[in-house]
Amino acid sequence: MTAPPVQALLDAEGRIVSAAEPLLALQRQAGGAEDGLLAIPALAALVHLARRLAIPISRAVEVADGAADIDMWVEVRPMEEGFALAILDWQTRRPHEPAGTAEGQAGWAWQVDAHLRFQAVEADAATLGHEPPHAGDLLTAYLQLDTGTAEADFAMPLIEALALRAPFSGQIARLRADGAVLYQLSGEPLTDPSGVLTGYRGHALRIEGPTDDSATSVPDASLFSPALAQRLDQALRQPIGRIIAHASTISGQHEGPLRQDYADYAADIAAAGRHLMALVDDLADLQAIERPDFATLREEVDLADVARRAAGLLKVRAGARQIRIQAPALDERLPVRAEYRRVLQILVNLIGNAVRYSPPESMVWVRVDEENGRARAIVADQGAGIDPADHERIFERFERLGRSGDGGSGLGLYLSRRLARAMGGDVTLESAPGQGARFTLDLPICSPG
Amino acid sequence: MGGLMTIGNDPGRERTHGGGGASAYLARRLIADARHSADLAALTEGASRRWPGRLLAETRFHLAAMVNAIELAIAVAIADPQVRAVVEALGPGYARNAIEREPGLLSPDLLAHLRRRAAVAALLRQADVMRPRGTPPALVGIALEPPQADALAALAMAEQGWCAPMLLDAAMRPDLPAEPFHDLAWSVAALLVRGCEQAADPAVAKAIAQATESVVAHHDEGQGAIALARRFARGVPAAARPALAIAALADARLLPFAALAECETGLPVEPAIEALLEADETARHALFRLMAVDDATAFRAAELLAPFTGAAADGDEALARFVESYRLYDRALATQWLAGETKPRALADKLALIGHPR
Repeated sequence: MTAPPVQALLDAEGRIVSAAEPLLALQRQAGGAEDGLLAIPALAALVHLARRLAIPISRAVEVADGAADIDMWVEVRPMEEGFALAILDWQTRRPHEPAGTAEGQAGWAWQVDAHLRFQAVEADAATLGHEPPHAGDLLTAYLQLDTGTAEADFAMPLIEALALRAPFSGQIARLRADGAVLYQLSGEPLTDPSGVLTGYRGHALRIEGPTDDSATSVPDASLFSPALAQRLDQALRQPIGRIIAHASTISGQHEGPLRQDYADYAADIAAAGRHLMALVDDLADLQAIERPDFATLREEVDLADVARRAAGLLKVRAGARQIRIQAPALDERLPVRAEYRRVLQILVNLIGNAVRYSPPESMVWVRVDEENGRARAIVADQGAGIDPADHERIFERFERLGRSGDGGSGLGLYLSRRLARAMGGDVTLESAPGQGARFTLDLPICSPG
Repeated sequence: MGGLMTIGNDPGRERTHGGGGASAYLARRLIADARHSADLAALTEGASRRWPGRLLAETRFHLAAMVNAIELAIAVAIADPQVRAVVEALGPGYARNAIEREPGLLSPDLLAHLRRRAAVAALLRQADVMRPRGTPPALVGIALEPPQADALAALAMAEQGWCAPMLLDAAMRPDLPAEPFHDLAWSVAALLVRGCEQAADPAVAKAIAQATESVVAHHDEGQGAIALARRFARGVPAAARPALAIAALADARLLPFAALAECETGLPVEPAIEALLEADETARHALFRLMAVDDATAFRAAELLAPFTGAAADGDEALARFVESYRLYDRALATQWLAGETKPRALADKLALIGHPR
């Protein structure tokens, strides 16, 4: 959720007429009076520019606040008698020197939101020697917080600091993908202007520690060990991506003519590569979803908009088989409480299945509606339909109902339902042989306020 | 032109990424990056135009990645398996490494095109941090009919291809206009022929030439981002163009802006992009005036473009002066500038020779 802007009114000379407290605090710290000329240099310069040019000006600004820095987006708008100043996206950063950082020791900087989801990481796989966390990954899913030595009395500095909104250091954490990799974490809280915690920013220092075999043998409910999942990702995704790119270039004959049999081989390679990549994606999702701590974001998402986007993404594939997709009308809106990319993933899967199993020159309908306080996206096709006896089985892992060679992994519907349920919804099916299929994604509606 | 300064290891070694661990791989990559950068910097030393570091980095990446793709395409198009084996024996990324030693192969026109392309890509890379978090791009706020929305989406996808992760050994679709593609393809071909000289087989050069001819003949410039930008702009109703152009400028998307400007003014896309990057602000003033760009957007655009135009060195003062002089630059002056820019190049050159103002 974005914090409300910090606002101020200035007179024609740039003196503060009124201002929100966080800005006044900065003004006082800069040595300015609460009703005096704006004394914060970066903001004063913007006001000066806006006055000189008589145009609205907005830009990212960094302001010093004692030992911390504040990143902000500032808008200055000339008015009849003065200026309106609005500060959006106020982020306080406290520089942190992690305790015990010896010169030459490797470390990396990270930033998480208030839910401990990574927002930024200043490291890459080559530097770390392992896959870095991705934006949105839970810190606790990526690293297993450790109590350190026995005499530490099961200290969990990060958790204690989180409760107190305080800085911390000395948090021992073990890479879940490789229990032999140990880090010492330290960090500082980030707050918005009203003091609400928006996350932590800190440093991860690689440390040597005794091998703890028990840490690597923590039972995992997932299909694969985290290490295997990571190896799958690292070992397969990049080479497959290159195979697809090169094979597509060759088969498309973008760079020149080619004997047709070679072009066809390349097209086969590209198609097989895409299938493999989809399988790797599905397996990676499966790995994530089956972790006990898997959670989705809850943000306001326009289900109608996502449905239109998903339909748009599949338009070309549908067009190749003369299948028309009828998406929700452009003016339709249906706000739901869910995670945008997961909803898109589910709808792409449902519409993709509909396109895959529909006869040529048929229709796929994508509609959204509200029923009993729930939001629904319905994907209906004119395919062969599914026997009611298989309606639940089709949502099982690797279930293909005897079909093969159509590019599916057998995980799409399983993942879709698990994702929908993680967001407080579900995916259900109504169908009968010869009558097409109608999949419904049900999600909690986003109530006003 | 002889070989330029090189730094570090044997290029042959860096092509084998196996073994040595992550740190060795990283070190090899850093050395390769530094060397390529130094070579390109040396290449552009004599150029009259300014090449800031960001442009150099982008140009280096686009050049390397497109050379990799063309090299692959030529190798695949060689019909004779024996010749293909000779070329393949050079190893992956041969042409990219070789072009560092023969940068004179790149014509000034090709370098100028790469520079424009790099500027477009560099701005796209930072588009997300040039507005407050959570705020949608300005172009998203303008309702479009489905065909234009589709065309804009296709363009956005092509633009994304221009700002892929900057890995020098990656391949990038060489979606260049015909002339620079022709130039680059034959540069790669020349390097491959040179590389295969040890084979002492005249059939090799002939086969590479034939393969390159076929690659060049099948290049479709209509699939490139510039062509997609033109397609988008031409589909937009004339009345909607100025608002879209201003939104594109605010979003740091130079391609749609330049394509819309082309529809409005007749100035082709590439000269329009060049006008945005000129050190002399007259061209920017004229183009903005012709596109009815308001003062606030002109300020923002000047700010975005400052790293490339050289205005960044003078900070806000330069931006303020830009807007103030823009206010004095009226449409009549802009029209006069346009007339000069849209003259046939040969005529303009001859007029310049006899001292006639352009």
